Formats: sequence, structure tokens, C-alpha cells
Amino acid sequence: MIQFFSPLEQFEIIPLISIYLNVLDFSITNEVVILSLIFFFVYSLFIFSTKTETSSFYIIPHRWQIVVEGMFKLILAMIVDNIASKKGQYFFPFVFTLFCYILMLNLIGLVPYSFTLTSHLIVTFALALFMFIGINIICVRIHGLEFFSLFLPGGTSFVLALLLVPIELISFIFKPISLSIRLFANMMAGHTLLKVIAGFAWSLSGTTGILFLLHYIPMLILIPLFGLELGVALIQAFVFSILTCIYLNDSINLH
Amino acid sequence: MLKIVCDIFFLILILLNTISCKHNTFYFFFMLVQAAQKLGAGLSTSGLAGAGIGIGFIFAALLLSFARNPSIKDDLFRYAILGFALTEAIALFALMISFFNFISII
Repeated sequence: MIQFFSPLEQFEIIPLISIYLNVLDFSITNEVVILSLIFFFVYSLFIFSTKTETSSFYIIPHRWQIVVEGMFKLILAMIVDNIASKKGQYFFPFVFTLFCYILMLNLIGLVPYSFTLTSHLIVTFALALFMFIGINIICVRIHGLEFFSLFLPGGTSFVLALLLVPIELISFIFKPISLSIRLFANMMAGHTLLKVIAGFAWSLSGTTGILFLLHYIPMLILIPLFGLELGVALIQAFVFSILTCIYLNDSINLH
Repeated sequence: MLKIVCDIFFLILILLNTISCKHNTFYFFFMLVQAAQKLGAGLSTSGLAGAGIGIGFIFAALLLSFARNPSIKDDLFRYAILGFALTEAIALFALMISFFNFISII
């Protein structure tokens, strides 16, 4: 039998230490290792950019403090621009954590031989679904039964309303699905593309003669592709956060 | 003429094998389904054409609006990147269907 090593093998979850309690699976997989690494990196980013004695920021910022302040300003501008009420400021820690989390997850996946958590649909879908449920709870709590006016834009005739409400319902249900699939598909497609081209370079380097000289070409193509992947990692984290802010605005101020 | 006779002969042979279940004939259908899956995977990438046009449209609008008002460059670029990511998502929806066909599930 021929054994095919597919480029999708890099997304496998490998248990490092298997811990089973009857039916539940608590094993330490490579996912868990990455998650603990994220906690370490994010925590150290915010701890090491402060003064050691009083743990406050410097007045003249040094390098890592500029990064932290830049992220702060970006998310704050996002919230103030998109949510048109004072209540939007309550959601700043949530969006900031979401942004840092997805950014770190995407960036850690770029390290060779590492594992990208956001390239699994279950991770991004869980994130988007819980955010969606939370936003609905916020909307119902603020507006009560007026929550259903989200599906009926004002000033439409009756016949048009009959047509419009199912369409609005479908687009409402589609929100968390599209949010999660966007992140998942970008990450998975990018990593699979990198793996395929690296596979070309690897097979070419196993031959002799003139074909061996050609193996530099896929390696050179990999460099701008890696830059593209880096850009996509940053952009996808930004887009996830800004869409969260837009959905929050939709729910706090009904249209 | 000989070709037609040979074709009919092979068809009758396959039919007899399928009916009698003497040899494992399901490999024929297995391979046919796999071939159809690969074909479908290739066809579903035709959705990327529209997404390509959409991305070009966004950056064309960025250039025009930058020419009108170069002082708000950063804001314009931010909105362009947001629009690019949203349009790219549609392209990747089509590509996902292609991937799910390509890894032969059967």
C-alpha cells in the first residue's frame, strides 16, 4: 500500500500525557501546551513592560511599553468609533483580551514545528458562539422584549416585512458561523499552502542533477508567503475584534 | 468494430462480477466516487473568481479616495484592510468546500 502523507497532517492533536477518568478525557495534548504558552507570553508582556518596584508604567515609554500602549489605543479607538454610547466602555477589557488572545494564537502558529490552535474549527466556533450568546443576553437585558425589533427595520410595509424578517433571521444566525469560519479558513488555508510548497522543496531536494538546483525556487517563494501569513495573522485578529464591536453596537443600540 | 466488441465484453464481465459477488468489485465504484470527489474539488474553486474581483474593487476605491483626500490615509487604510478581510472570507468559504471534497472521506 502506498502511504500518502497529506499536508493536512500538521493539524493533528497529539496527546502527550493521557489522563482518562472513565469517559472524560483530560489528557495533556499539544493544544494544552500552546495554551499555557500563550498565558505565559501575554502575562510577561504586560508585566515586563512596567517598573519592577512599583509596577507602573514609565512616563517616557520604552520599547515594550510602546507596544502595549499601541494595542490599548487601537482597541480603545475601535470601541469609541463603533459603539455609539457611553456603555461601550464597559466592554473594553473583553475586546482587549479577545484581541490579545487571537493575536497570540495566530502568531505562535507561525513558529516552525508549532501548532496553530485557531486552525481548528471547534476552537474558533466555541469562541464565536459564546460571544454571540453573551451579546444576545446583553441585548435582552437592556431592551427586554424589544429585542425582536432587530429583525424588522422601521418603516416597511406589511408585505415587505413578511419577506424581510426571514432574511434578517438568517443573516442573524449566520453571524457567529461566518465569524468563526473566516478565522478558521484563513489560518488553515495559509498553513496548508505553506506545507504544500515546503513539500515541493523537500521532494526536489531529494533528487540529483539539475532538479536539485531547482529546489531553491520553492524555498524562495516561501519567504513572501510567510510574510503574507504574518499579515493575515494580524489582520484576522483585528477583524475579529472589530466585528465583535460592531455586533455589540447592533445589540446595545438597536439599529 | 473490434473495439466495440471488447467494450461490450468488459461491460458484461463487470456486470457478472457485480451480480455474483465473487470478487470484490466495489473497488470500481470506490475509485469512481473518489475521482468524482477530486473533480468536484476542482470545480468548487471557481467561486474564487468573484472574490478576486471584489478585492480589486476595494483597493481601487482606496486609491480613488486617497487621491481625493490624502490627509486621512490611516483611516482609509484601516477600512480597506477590514473590507479586504471580509471579502477574503467569502473566497475561503468556497475554498473550504474544495478542501472537504479533496480529502476523500469515503
